Amino acid sequence: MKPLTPAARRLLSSDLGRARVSRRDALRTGGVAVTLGALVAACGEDRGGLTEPGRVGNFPVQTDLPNYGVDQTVLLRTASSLEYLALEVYGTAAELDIVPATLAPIADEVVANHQAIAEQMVELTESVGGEPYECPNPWFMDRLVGPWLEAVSNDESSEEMAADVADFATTLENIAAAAHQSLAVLGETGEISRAHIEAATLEVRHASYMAILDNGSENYISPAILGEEVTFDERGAIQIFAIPARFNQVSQIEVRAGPPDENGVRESFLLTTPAENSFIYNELGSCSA
Amino acid sequence: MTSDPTPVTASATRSSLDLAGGALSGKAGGDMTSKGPSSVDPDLTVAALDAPPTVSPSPTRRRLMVGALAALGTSAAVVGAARPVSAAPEERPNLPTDDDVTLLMQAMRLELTARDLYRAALSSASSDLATVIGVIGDNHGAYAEAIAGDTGLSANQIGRDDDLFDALEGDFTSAGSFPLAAHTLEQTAVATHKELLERYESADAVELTGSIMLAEARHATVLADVAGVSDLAIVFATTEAPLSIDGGA
Repeated sequence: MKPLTPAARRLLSSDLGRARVSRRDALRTGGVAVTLGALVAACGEDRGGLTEPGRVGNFPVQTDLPNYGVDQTVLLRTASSLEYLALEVYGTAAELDIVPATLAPIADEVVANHQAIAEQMVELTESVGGEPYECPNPWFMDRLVGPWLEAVSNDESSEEMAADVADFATTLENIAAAAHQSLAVLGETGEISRAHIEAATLEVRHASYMAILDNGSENYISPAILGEEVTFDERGAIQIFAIPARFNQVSQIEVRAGPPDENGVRESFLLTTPAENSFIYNELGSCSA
Repeated sequence: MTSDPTPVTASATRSSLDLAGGALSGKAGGDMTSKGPSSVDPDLTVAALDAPPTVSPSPTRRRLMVGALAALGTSAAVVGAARPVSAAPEERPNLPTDDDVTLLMQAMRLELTARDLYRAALSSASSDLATVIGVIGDNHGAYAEAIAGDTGLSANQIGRDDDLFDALEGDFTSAGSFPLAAHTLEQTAVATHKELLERYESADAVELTGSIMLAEARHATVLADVAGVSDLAIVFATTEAPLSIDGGA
């Protein structure tokens, strides 16, 4: 082996010769670089770029939902749409010849009353400068009446159908009354509030009388008022009472319909008072009645 | 300012006609032939109250009205007189105003009287009706308590309307006359709350009154069935005029 030259020996013995980068040095240097980079980035402006969550693949351009206002006209249009909804339900039941015998004596009167209330709501809509809405509420038609009618059509007998219609009619009267009760508070004038509360009064009378016609004095008082459990009837349907609670409620009401499944449970439908998703906004315009 | 007719004019009209014809006569021994439509012109009411009865007025109705007028310390001025226009919702305060409290106190007195009348009726009630009477009586007590909660008034201090109670106690404690007397009281309560509702300024008062009067309309429907009434012009209509209540703006 060839001996090192003096110059090479000096180089190896010097600090320069020991200047290999240790792991500690690398971490220290890297940390400083990352910190300075973050500092510079945070102080930067106009960084630009998309701020939405990332998405993969092709997708349609997103559009913001319209923000429609709720005013007196909207509330009155919604009220009339509920009355036309009731008329649609009763009309369909008559068309299909599934009006229950218990309701037959009052059906014409009930329909006439809903027609009168609907017309009154239309008049009030016009009186506040709104465009009247003279069709059934589409939200409730699509999501409630349609599926309910489908369930009823699967009933095994006309008696079952009629019983389901009776339950639904009574529940519909109760929820329509609850809707008017809620709207009475929001009435812009005394005339509007009075119209709503009178409509609600009439519709609770419909509901209570229907409950009585269905099962007589057994249906006078809900056991819930007495602190007892409300049970299902022999058909597996929810019992409906003339006086369901101490105070008239505006909460959602459940009704069941259609044939029972293998466990004896019928399909459940929830009726609610109108809200943002079922209001008839002014932007929806009129309808082709 | 006159009260508007009920929304279902056909029913209201028929109600008047049928009642004038004695639709209730012979049913449960009652006679409601003198009842007017659900909402009447206050001026006409004044005249009717001042004038001698011409068509065999119902004792229950007369006693109710006379008792109410005396007990509430009013003249013949009726609810609709000088009625202020309800505040628009955006202007409505949440809590009852002083005027509201004055009116709610009268409503509470009516509810306490009704509660005590039903309690009195329990003494002569059949077992079939005991539950109905007990629940409806308790309901009226609950309405009074709710009003107390809303206003800060004490039900114990307000108390019932003794004159009205005394006027109706006989009918309520008689099994034969109870159904129609109770039906009349409920219908009167509905009409009275409706008139008051138009005078309230606060959202709380309107909300509470709505939930009370609609429950009382249900009471009336049940009691009509108990009385054997099936005339839809009565079952579906507010067949009584409101009590005279003074106070408020």
